[in-house]
Order: sequence, then C-alpha cells, then structure tokens
Amino acid sequence: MLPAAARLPDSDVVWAGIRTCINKVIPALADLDMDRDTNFNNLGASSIEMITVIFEIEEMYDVVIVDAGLDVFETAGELRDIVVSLLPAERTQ
Amino acid sequence: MTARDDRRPDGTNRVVVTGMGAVTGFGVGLARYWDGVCNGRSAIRSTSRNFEDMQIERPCATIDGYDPTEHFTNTELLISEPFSQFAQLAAREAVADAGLDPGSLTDAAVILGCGGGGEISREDVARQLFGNRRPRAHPMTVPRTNHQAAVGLISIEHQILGPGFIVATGCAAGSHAIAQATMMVRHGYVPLALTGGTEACVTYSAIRAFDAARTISSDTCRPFSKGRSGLALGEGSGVLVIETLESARRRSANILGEIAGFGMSSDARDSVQPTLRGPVRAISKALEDAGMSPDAIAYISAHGTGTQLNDVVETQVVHQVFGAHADRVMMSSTKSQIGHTFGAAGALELIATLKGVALGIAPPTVNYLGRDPDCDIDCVPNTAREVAIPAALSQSFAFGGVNAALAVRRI
Repeated sequence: MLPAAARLPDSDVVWAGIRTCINKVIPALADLDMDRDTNFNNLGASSIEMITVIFEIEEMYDVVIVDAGLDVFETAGELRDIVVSLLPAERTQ
Repeated sequence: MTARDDRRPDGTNRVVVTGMGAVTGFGVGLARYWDGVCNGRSAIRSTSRNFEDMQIERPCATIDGYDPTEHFTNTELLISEPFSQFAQLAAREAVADAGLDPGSLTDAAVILGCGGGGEISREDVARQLFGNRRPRAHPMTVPRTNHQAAVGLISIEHQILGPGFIVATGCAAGSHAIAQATMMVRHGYVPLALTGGTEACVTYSAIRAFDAARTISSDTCRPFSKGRSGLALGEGSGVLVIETLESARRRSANILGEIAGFGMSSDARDSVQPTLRGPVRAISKALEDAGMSPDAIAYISAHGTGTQLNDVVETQVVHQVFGAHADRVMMSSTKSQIGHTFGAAGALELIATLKGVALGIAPPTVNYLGRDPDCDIDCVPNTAREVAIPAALSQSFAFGGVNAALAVRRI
C-alpha cells in the first residue's frame, strides 16, 4: 500500500527516457513511432544493441534489470512496465 | 624466371608483399599517407585530452577527418574501438590493393601487432567505476578492449579461417607480427597472411603515462635533430598482404617488394634504457636471413623516436653494424610525420619503406632543425629524396628491450 502522499512514476515520462536510451544506442530507430505493442524482435535490433540499451536505461534510472533477471521482454510496453516497477514511488508532498 | 627463383637458398618460400593499406594522421588510406610522407608534411598537432575536469595538451597525430560512421554500421561501432576499426580499414584497403577475390582468403593468417588494445574503453570504464563510482561497466567493455578484437573482426569481414593472433610487444609489435607472418608463409604453414599493426591510444591516461616517463616532446617530434625533446603519440594502422613469390607470380599480382629477411632479439639488460647489443643483433640477423651484406642497404627506416637517448644509441647501432657504409646509408624516421604509433609503427614504417623501394623515394625526417653531432647519419632532413633503393631495412626497438628488424628488396 502506497502512502497517500506518494504516486507512481509517470509512465509516459519513463517511456520518454527509455526512448532517449534507444535513440542513443540505435539512432536508426529515432524516427520510428513505437507504441506499447511494438515488438523489439521486429525492429532488426541486434542483441548487442539491446544489451547496450538496457545498460543505458539502468544508468539513467539507477535500476538493476539484468542482474535481477528482468531482461525478459518483447514489447515496448513490457520494457516500460519493468522500468516503472523498479522505480520508487514519487513523493508529491 | 625459373621455379628455383621462387625459393630461398634453404628451399623455403620467398615471401612478397602484394597489397598494403594504411590509416595515419594524414587520414584514411595509403595514398594520403604516402602523399604526406613525400611532401614532407607532419600530421602532428597540439592535441588535448580530458578526464573529468583535468586536461593535458601535448603534440599528437590523430586521424585527420576520421568519421567512423562513414565506414561502419551502428552495431559494428558498439563492439569495436578505433584500434580495431583502423585495422579493419587498413585490411580492406590491403586486400583490395592485392586484387584478391572474395573467398581466396579462407586459409590466410591474420597476425597484427598492437600495444595497448582498447585504451579508450578502459578509460571509459575507469571513469564509470572509479570516477562516477557506478557499479556497472559497459557491457561491451570486454569485446571492445581485448587486443584480439582487431584480428577477429578482420577474420569475420573477410571470412578468414586460418590462424589469427596479436603480438603485443609495444613499439616493436608491428615488426614482430610481420616477422612471424613471414615465417609462417615462408614455411608453408599458411599460403598468405594479412599482417601489420594497429593502435589508438591517444587518451588522457596514456598521454599522462608517457608524459610521466619523460618521453613526450614539448613541441613536436624531430628525430636526430638538434633541439629534439621527445616523441609525439600517434595512432593508426598498417596492414600488408604477404604471400609466396610463387603464388604472386601465378596470379600476376603486383609485387611491391620482397620481405627478404627478419631478425629478432632481446637486450637482456634493462627494461627502458636502450642498448647496442640487442638492436645490433636483430639487424645483423635480418641481414644474414636476407643473404645481404650491410653495404647492400641503401635506406633504413629508423625506430627514430626523437628522444635524446634513443636517437643517439640508434645512430651508434648503425655505425656498429654498417661500419664505413653508415656514412653512405640514409636513415629517416616517419615518426616525425605520423607520430609514434606504437603497435602500428613497425607496419606503417615498413609500408613507407616498401613504397620508397618501389618508387625510388627516400622518406624524409621532418621538423629537422640542424645537425646533432651525436647523430652523425644522413637522416634525409625535411625533404623526401629521389634515389634508387634496391634494398632497405625497417627496425623497431621496444621498452622491455625487445627488438625486430625487417630487410626488404625490390623484385
């Protein structure tokens, strides 16, 4: 149960951060529209690129994805949900 | 020509160079390198490198106008450092220059020299772990930094299934690698090889390290000259295609010169102070291996770092080996033009030597201000010289007291 004065991170803001990481590692995807059902397996990204994307996300949010065994996802929505679940609730007051 | 000409007196294969590629401070490509050499230019510039808020500025020769995205995909760049990229570019050019068909390299060897490997990523990971106190290293740190990444990426690109390895003897690594590859082709272990060296270590930490060793010049690199004050760091790669004379003739390849002999030795005295006996032994072995007398050599590509002590000792070495002929032989240092490229130096210097042998041009020692009486040799000061060069030497001497010399001749 979350304290009353706290709320979950804004998932749109988190997704914007994830997109920054993706675009940094894979510039070719920068102009591609993605929604939560976009499947990374269909984007032609290599495993090397995806490993590096996850590293950049871990650094940006100071979270542990790989070592926690959470790097199992296929879609953009799944990746966003993993990151959101790892972030602490934001205090609003 | 007879079949007998294709063999050395001991019955082993004669080894020739049929392709060359280079990346130097003059830019990507052998033509730019040779143009810079012949026109007496220097690619050495005052160069700064930072780590956090710390900065150092010293004379270095980095790759002019280099944009890796012009040559590699995003995925390739994630896994490769400049030292690998330079080797790949030089190898591409050498293979094309040799006129080799795709698929003809299956049994080749890839043997390169490299001193530092992935210095840039090592510095990045140090910044990440110790500077920023982050708990994670970049996941590509290991594949980027290992020395053998360069040969691995070349073997992938050209589908080479033969032996591939790196020789890591610092400043002599390129020459050692070429000697090793020559030995393997000579004895028929492989039909041909891509060999040479690569380096990209112009980093904050590397400049600091060489600066602390009191080896870096205060202004530029001027070997054998009065007023010299040390070396200039450089980066780049040189790759040669070598094969048997027999196969080169069979496929009507353009033969750029013969690697007629090599010699290798150790000083066995001091890790940093140069000696006479080690280099003398390496050069003498190379001449003996080539079946050449000292007076057959018209030109020597010196190790020529531009440090006070090295140039004096190297001059003494040449006098000891060549005797009276030392007054007639030319000995210059392209380190005055492209800096000290460490693991690539032996290869890039051999490439300039072979071009000189083929075209009758002695590369110059630029930035020369005047004679140092302790360096009483003809160092081809400042201007390249048109002169017939039937045979030449290229020599490399490294920290640790390890030495290599290569003897080449026109064919």
